[in-house]
Amino acid sequence: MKDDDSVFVLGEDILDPYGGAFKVTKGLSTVFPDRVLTTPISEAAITGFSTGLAIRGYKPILEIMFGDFITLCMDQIINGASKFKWMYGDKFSVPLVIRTPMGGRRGYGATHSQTLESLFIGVPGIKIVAPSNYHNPGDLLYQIVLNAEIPTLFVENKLLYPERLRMPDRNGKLNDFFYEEICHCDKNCPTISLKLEKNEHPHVTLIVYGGMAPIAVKAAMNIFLDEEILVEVIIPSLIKPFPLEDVLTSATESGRIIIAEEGVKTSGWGAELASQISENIFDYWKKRIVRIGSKEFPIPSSRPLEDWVLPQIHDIEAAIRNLVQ
Amino acid sequence: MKSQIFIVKAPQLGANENKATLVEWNIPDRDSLSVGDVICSLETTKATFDVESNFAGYIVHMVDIGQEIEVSTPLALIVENANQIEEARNEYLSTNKTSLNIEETKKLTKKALKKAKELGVDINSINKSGILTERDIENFSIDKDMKSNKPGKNKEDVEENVDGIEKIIDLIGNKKAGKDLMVKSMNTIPHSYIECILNVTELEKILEEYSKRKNIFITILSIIISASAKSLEKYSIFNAYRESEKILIYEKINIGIVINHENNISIPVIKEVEQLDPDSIVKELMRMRRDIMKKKPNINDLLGATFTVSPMDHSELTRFIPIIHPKQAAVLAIPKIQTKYALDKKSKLEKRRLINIGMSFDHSFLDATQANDFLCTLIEQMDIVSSSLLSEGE
Repeated sequence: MKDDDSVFVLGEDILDPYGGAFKVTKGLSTVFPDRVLTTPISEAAITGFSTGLAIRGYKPILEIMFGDFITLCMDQIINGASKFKWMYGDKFSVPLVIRTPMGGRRGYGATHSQTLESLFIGVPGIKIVAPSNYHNPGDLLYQIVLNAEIPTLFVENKLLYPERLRMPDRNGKLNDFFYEEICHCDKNCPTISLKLEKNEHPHVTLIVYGGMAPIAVKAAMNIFLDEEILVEVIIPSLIKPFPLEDVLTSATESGRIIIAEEGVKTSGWGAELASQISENIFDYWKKRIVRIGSKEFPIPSSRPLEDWVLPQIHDIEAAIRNLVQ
Repeated sequence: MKSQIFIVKAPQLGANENKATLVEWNIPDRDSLSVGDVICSLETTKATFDVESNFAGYIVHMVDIGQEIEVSTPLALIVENANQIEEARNEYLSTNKTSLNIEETKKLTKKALKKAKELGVDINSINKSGILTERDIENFSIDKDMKSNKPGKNKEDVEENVDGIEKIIDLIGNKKAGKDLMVKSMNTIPHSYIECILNVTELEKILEEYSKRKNIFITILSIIISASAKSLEKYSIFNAYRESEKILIYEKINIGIVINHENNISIPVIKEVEQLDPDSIVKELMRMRRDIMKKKPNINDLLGATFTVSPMDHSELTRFIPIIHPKQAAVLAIPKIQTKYALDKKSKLEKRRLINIGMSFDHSFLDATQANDFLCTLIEQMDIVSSSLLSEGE
């Protein structure tokens, strides 16, 4: 906001002293009182309003308090924001960024715990970005906001808010992992690769994003300590369009791929990704592609039941063992 | 009467915060405190909180400064009586073994642990950072065995019937002669190594076309040799060697090619390469290889190299670091051509043929910038040579 006067932040309850439901905007309205706008509780209206701002040359960042409420914005995004650039002959861009927290594991129940970004996978004209604590979310948002051409959904996982950032040391190592940034597809949205052995081909390529990242990294470490199976964890920040080239090297090296997401497995991000990969590198297949996702149930409030519905670390570990044996 | 122990636990510091870091102890270990005193400060990703005491007595710290702790982890114990501090601490630790102050031991995999027990290896004596694997344990065990079997003996002193040695092989042929040269080179020339990846997809296609048309099989190696000669013409400092404070630059460009035949290494030399075209280089290479296979190499072919190319393109090696020959400045490493797949601009899968061209050079008088210039010129020259082949054919 300091670097660009046209950046506005809009959302429900985001003003100080409350500072937003997850405190992401805390302190912001004190520093930029004219450019942080609190809005009525109507997600459809504020999405339309923000789209208008974007068309007129502003760079709005809209916060939807819970990702579950994105369904209320669907019409504005799908029939509006995503198409305007084409419908009006490319006269303007729509640099709208919608930030929203997704994900469960906190016992918030069926309508405050979902992972719904996969609903937008089949919508042309939008971009989906999801940081993890292995990316720098601040840098990522900065680049997205200042360079957005088309509406962008910026998906934050609730569970990552209290996590610490995991950044490599000077030697490119993060604890026992070798940390590498891959940017073949979009220089603003790096894909992170974490490997335990630098010069050896991984046995399994594990592709995850957002809130699944810390779980996947833990699983990779556990499975290495238990069985000496080398897992390369690939964490893209760009979810749509998928940065296929960023995973291709690892995928061809290992030939065994697991895609894990917190969203529902059926027709999810992993489904799309698996088809794209198999269309491109089918020849390298040693085994099948395995998808892990949540079960087809509403997410329960009871924590043990919620754990049963959502994908867990032992699901990933079991998938790795099955694939390698 | 037995003193009572109170446990101070890390509080929940916000709806979304399950962890906190201890930043400061306000009351030193084993000091007295009263109700309401601030014991310590905890920091979450959002804010800093003070933890107050609900008890009076003497404090025993259970967590170190900087340690990240989960909610409900015990931070400290408070005892009523000063002389029961140690007792309380020991009693608590013995009943809550999962916690705290366990010494950081080496990380190793389950397989490694099993192997270590099997071979009787002390894991703390293995000098490796990171996680130990089964292979690390095996390698360490083998090293240890070898050291203990030949204490302080040089290779020359090895006698027959030494414990643990199955048989002794004498060095023969060129390897015997080459041994001292290699050792001398490693001891007198400070080696430095650079490498770059070269995409030879197009070049391979051009060569294939050309070979078909002219009915002579041109290899990438011959193009590299030809381009090396051109590059050496431009950077004559690589066609040279150092003798104490002087650099002696050769007049002619004679490139030695390492040929491996029946486990024996020969280095025939192509003389005055700068005057030959790739066709002639191929013919010369084939002639020399034939001579070596017949074991009748011309002695003149083996002398006078001023630069060396070491091709291992028929191996599985994707990278190797060659040793510079005495009285030379550099040596090129040509490993296997690898096939990699990548997406082209139209998102179509593209097959790429890549080679890691490496070069060891004498760092006592050459630096990496010069080496870089040399390699870049070499690559440019490869383009020029291959495009000349293209135009020649038409």
